Amino acid sequence: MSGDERTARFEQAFLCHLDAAYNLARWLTRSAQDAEDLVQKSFLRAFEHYDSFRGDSPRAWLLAIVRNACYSHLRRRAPSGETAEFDERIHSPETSAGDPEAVALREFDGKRLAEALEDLPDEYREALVLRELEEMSYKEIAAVLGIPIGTVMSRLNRGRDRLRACLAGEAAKEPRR
Amino acid sequence: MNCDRAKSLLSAHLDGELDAVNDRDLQEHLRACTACQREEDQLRVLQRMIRSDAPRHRAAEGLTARVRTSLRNAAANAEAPEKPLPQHAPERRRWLWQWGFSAAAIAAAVVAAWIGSTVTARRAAADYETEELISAHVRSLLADHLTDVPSSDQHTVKPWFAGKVDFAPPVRDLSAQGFPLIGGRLDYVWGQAVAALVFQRNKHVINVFVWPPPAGTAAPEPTLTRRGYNMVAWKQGELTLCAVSDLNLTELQQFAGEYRGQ
Repeated sequence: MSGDERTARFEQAFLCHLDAAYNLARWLTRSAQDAEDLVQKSFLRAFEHYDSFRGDSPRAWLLAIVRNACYSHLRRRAPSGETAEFDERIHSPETSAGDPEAVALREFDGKRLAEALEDLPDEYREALVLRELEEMSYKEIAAVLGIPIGTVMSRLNRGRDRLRACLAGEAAKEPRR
Repeated sequence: MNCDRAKSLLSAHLDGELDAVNDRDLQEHLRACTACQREEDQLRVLQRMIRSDAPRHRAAEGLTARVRTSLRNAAANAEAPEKPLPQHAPERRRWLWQWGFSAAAIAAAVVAAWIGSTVTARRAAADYETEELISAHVRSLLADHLTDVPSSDQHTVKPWFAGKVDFAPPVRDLSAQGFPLIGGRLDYVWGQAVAALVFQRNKHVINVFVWPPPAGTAAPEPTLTRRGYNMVAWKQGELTLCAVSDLNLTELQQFAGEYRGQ
């Protein structure tokens, strides 16, 4: 395979996943500029390692590289462990999700939902983004995150519970419009 | 099925990822339990909201073009040494020196650039692999997921991998040397399945990652220390093995030596 051919094949297999790569990087870093830089770097890295790619999902393989690049970047930027940890006191609602008072999910506009998702701890946010926005299968998500499928299931479960609890908590605290 | 169990399966049910048996049991439970039904409804609404309201960020217009350009540049750099240098055939003798000098200078520059880029590329690739292995090691400790097959018997652990990876990882019994086997695990590194064998030395856990290296990849660095973790890598037949641990390097090297059978 000539160099040109290799490049062409790589582009054909991977460039169609550029938006997915960008979306994940944007949700993980919360910055458009960082996301662009990291996507560019990740494509180069994937290209370097293209010969070792043997899986059945180019998208999962690429996103695993993007994710790794994002976390390395975030670690470099916040070496003193100041990455946002989930804080039960801030994020948990005062009423439980099962409380009949608590849930009126439909009343929320998209902005608040996006904010709530952005506030979730990384491990839940990334799983939800891959599932709901990229509509990936559990198997693909497992490959991106490097965790077993059972863990994907419990992360999504817990992530959704927390997201719902956050929204429900806001509903209980803030006056209805 | 009780409510706790039902709730733990709701997400997978919603995503169409639940196996048939569990799904049937869950639906049976849902028909009988209004609390869980309500839970399901809420999750469904939430899912719709995420899909409609949380933005799927789209890359800016120019990003595809920039990525393409950088790929082309990388490909061109990789090929640079194979391209013949421009041939200069000076007609007049007095130009020979000038041409000679500039050709030599160009050649030197090209060679230097090529060496620079391959060295950087290799180092970047090796860094990436190192980071991934350390992440996999840390993940195995943090996620409380050290082993898929907990066993101190090599004859239980080794066959467990059959059908899960397309190679047979060498498993050693080193309990006499003070490194008891704890079990094995399937892990994902670089998006591909690798075998992980788990050993213990006092309170330190040692993960031995085993994978068949793709053809043409450079041999791994024999020893490395990163972020307080030590790594010792070696080749065994067609496979690459890499032991990762927070154990001190001397003992980890001793472990690797025993593993190799030296």
